[in-house]
Amino acid sequence: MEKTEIILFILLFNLILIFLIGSVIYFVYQYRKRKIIYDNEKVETSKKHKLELLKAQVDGQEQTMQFIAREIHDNVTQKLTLASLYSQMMDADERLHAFKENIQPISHILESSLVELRSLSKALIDNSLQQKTIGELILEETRIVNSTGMTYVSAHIEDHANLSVEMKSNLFRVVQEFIQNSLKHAQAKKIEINLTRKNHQLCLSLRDDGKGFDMNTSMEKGMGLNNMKRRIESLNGSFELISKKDEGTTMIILLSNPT
Amino acid sequence: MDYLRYILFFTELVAMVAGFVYWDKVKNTPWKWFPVYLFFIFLFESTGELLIYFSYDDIHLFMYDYIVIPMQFIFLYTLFYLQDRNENSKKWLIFLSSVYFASLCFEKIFLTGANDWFNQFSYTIGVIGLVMLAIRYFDKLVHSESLLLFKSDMMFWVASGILFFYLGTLPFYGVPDSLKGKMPHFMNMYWIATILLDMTMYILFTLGFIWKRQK
Repeated sequence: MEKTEIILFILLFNLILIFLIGSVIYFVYQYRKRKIIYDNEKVETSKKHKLELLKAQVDGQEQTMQFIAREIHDNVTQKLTLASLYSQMMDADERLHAFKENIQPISHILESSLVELRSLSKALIDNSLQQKTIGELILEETRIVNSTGMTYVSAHIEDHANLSVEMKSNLFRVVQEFIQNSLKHAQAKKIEINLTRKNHQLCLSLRDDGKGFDMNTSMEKGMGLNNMKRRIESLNGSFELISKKDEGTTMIILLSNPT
Repeated sequence: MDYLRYILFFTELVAMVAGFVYWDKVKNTPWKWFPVYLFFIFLFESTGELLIYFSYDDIHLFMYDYIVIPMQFIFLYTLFYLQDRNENSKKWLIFLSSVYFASLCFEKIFLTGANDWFNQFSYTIGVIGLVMLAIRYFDKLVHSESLLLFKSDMMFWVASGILFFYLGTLPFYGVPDSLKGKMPHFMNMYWIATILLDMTMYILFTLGFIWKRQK
């Protein structure tokens, strides 16, 4: 009986010892595992943050350049054109014949300045954004993506109204981002783009048949989504994103009275 | 070996003092009762020493059997409940307290004077309850984001102290005296280990007070 008791005691003692040591090892293991995940997430977030910051900087620069280009084109160039006209009138005026030699070089300087300023303005602004409508830009992008054979993009453009460069630029970048996400993350086979206008409201809808995502988890993490949201908000527009796992993603953007 | 007991007293005192020194951190939380609990533990331990010194062994035994040990278990069960105060925790508190009191009554009515494995029946049941609550807490902790902030979680240090002391000393306190006599050398070593584990528990409580983050 005593021997059994001693064996039982030793067994219990060892079991408790093993349990305590095992618990400590398990705790340390779980802690390290979570710490590694946390550190990786931190690095990832920091990377995304830096990229977002860089993109915002590039956007800022782009907008500043567009502003300068517009100012050169709409303001400085107009004034110089006026000055050039005056100088040409003075050159043609017989009463000022004595000053002709002085007026002609001024006229030439003004002409060459105008040419230089126009080319600078063109260089600062993306020409295609300036000249093409949003519909044309989308159709062009569609052709480029379809030529890669990775997916099929169909675009239905009802509205060809010319919007401001800023609006065109932001909407076009949203379309590009959506296509990129559909290809990169959703592996979509088909993408549909519709641009319509109803009652002074421009509606851009984008839909893919990709694998979709869980909106509760991915909304916070996706830098692309944040960028699109920021761009639409900057245009005072609203947007709705609907996505479910394996059921594709749909994005609807609404802009009131766009110009 | 007496000096070990003195150090143990000192660690109990330090834990209690730490509780009151960092009162600001705990005053608006359920942890405010913990320094009070430590104060009573210190008071009872000192009284117990005096009772033994003046040979009032019966009163000493009565005080521990009916006041100190039941109070410890019920307080610690309540402490676990106060961490999340949900229905589930309430059920655990009621269930474990009822089982403990039932085992205490059973022990005092049916197992009196029995010098066998059941001479610490209610204590063993009480410890099993505490260990279950500590494991439940650790299970929740390792599966949550709070794991990364365990250092500032007071419950982590308290649950660790409880797990190490109560579980680590269970074989020693649960074993009958007759068996202790069969392995005097080992039991003597184990007795020292129980004192060290007791000290560890109070040191962990102190660390909990120091590292606890103020809400």
